[in-house]
Order: sequence, then C-alpha cells, then structure tokens
Amino acid sequence: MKKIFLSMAALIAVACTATAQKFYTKNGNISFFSKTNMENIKADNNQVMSVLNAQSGELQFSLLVKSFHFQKALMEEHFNENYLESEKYPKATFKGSITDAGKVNFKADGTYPVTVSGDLTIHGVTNKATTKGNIIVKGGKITGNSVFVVALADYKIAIPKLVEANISKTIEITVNCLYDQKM
Amino acid sequence: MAGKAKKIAIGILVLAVAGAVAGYFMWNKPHQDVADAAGKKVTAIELYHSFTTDSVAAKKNYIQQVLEVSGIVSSISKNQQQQVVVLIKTATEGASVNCTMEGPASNIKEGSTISVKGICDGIGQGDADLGIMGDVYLVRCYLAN
Repeated sequence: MKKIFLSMAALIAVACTATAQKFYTKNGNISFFSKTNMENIKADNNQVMSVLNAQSGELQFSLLVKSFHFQKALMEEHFNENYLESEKYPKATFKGSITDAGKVNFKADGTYPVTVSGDLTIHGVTNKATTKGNIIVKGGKITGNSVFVVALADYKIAIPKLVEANISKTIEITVNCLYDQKM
Repeated sequence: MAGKAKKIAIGILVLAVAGAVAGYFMWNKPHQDVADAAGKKVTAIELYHSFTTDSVAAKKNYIQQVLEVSGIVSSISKNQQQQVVVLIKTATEGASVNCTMEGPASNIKEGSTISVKGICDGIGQGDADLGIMGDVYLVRCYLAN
C-alpha cells in the first residue's frame, strides 16, 4: 500500500515538473530594422506566439506577417502587398531549439547566453538559421531575446529598383519575448 | 514662339507641383482610422468559431477589417511595449480574441462584458501537443460605445 502511494506521489511529482517546464507567450515582440543612408525603417509585431520547452530546449515562434506595424501606412501596404506577399504567405515561423539549454537554470535568476538553431520560414522559404541570444530568469519570469540579421535575397524577397536605395539588403531582427508558465 | 515655350514651361511646372503634392499625400497617407470607424459587429465566440471552422469565409469576412467584438474579459495584461492586452473569452478553453489596445483601457475589468473595436489580423498558430490554442488577433483597439 505504501509503495503504491509512493509511486503515485512520484508520478504526480514528475507530471508537475513536466508541466512546469513549459513556457509560452501569445504577445511576444519581434521587430525589424532596415538602415540605409536614405532612410531607416522599423516595424513592430506584438502578436508573436512562442513556446519554450525548458526541459528539451525546443523553441518555436510563429507570427502573422500582417501584424507588423509601421509608422507610415504606405510602407505597411508595400510590405504586405509587394515584398512579403502576406496574402500568399500569411505566417512566418521558426522551429528549432536552444542547443545549449542545459546551461540555463530556469529556477535561478540570471542572464544565460544561449545558441538557438533551427528552421526559419519567411515568405514561404525555409532556411537553417543559427543565432546567439539570452535567456533571462528574473523573479520566476522568463524572457528570451536575440538580435540577428537576415538577407532578403535568402528568402526571395525582391526589392524594386526604384526603392533599392531606401531598403537595406540585410534586415536586423530583434526578438523579445516575456513568457508565461504553461499550467 | 516665346509664348508657346512659356505655356509649356508653366504646364510642366504645374504637373510637377501636382505630382509632388500627390506624392507627399500618398507618402504621408494616415493609417486607417479605427476610433471613429463603424466596426462590423460580431461576438468573440462567433469570430473564433468562424476562424476555426471556415477559414476561407473568416478571411473574406474579417481580415484587415475594423470589427466590433463583444464578449467577456478573461484577462488584462501589458506587453513589452507597455500596451494593454485584453483577452476576450471564446467558447474554446484557452483560446481568446487577443486585443492590443491603442485607446484608453483603464476602465476595463476582468469578468466584465465589453465591446472592442479593432483591426482583425487573423488567427495565430497554436501548439496542439502542448494544448496551447491560437488566438484571433485584433490590433489598434478602442473600447466601443
């Protein structure tokens, strides 16, 4: 009888740790920045879904391209209609993992530099991507951030000659997600 | 002859100015006005149901349109840019209409019934394995009525 109780308690404990190891957000932030001598362009997306499995290191992001918002309405229009073709390719995703998740102690406050690697899909094109980032643990809250660069040509995003001088060929992407624990 | 050249020059000048003015207004075209727009009325339950059962119709009827979505507030939080995010309940556990506020939000209370106007961006991806449901996103939101 005692043994049954013990194994039940052990099972419950395992189940609890397993669920306690998953973090998610549906309102993370990803922004991008294009810098040229002609102009700087920035757009923000605050509707990013991301799931982080602390145990396995699995990490995924998904966003609606239409949720990128620009200062100028015309830029937003061109971005959706001509460059990212958001009607045809409504989502951008990343599916991969923190390759060195073992370095992170999700229970102790600190900033942990990590490497993230996986498949990045933008504009219907998937490429392998590896980048550096940080996992920040503070008061039980988990934040993930990273800054990396993508080349538009790698994702078959064509910029018309007319505005070539205004849009950088490489775009800086900033990821900043504050996660909730999945209960 | 001189008179004709002058007329042509004036014509070109007028066209150039008109072009510049048109270009300037296009370049500075404002974002869609949400605060004063009449939103298409729909309940959060209907809206979510539409996206999960007939995505083609949902896309046609709702995406990039100003909607006025009503329902019960399940949570109020702030995103990293300090914008208020209001979640409105749907009939699916864990799935919400996810509203990022542009207008004032201090009067919104959890559990209350509200109507929110905003632009619908579509439905986000969930994670079936982890039991995380995708939300329907409404952005640049204002409290209606």
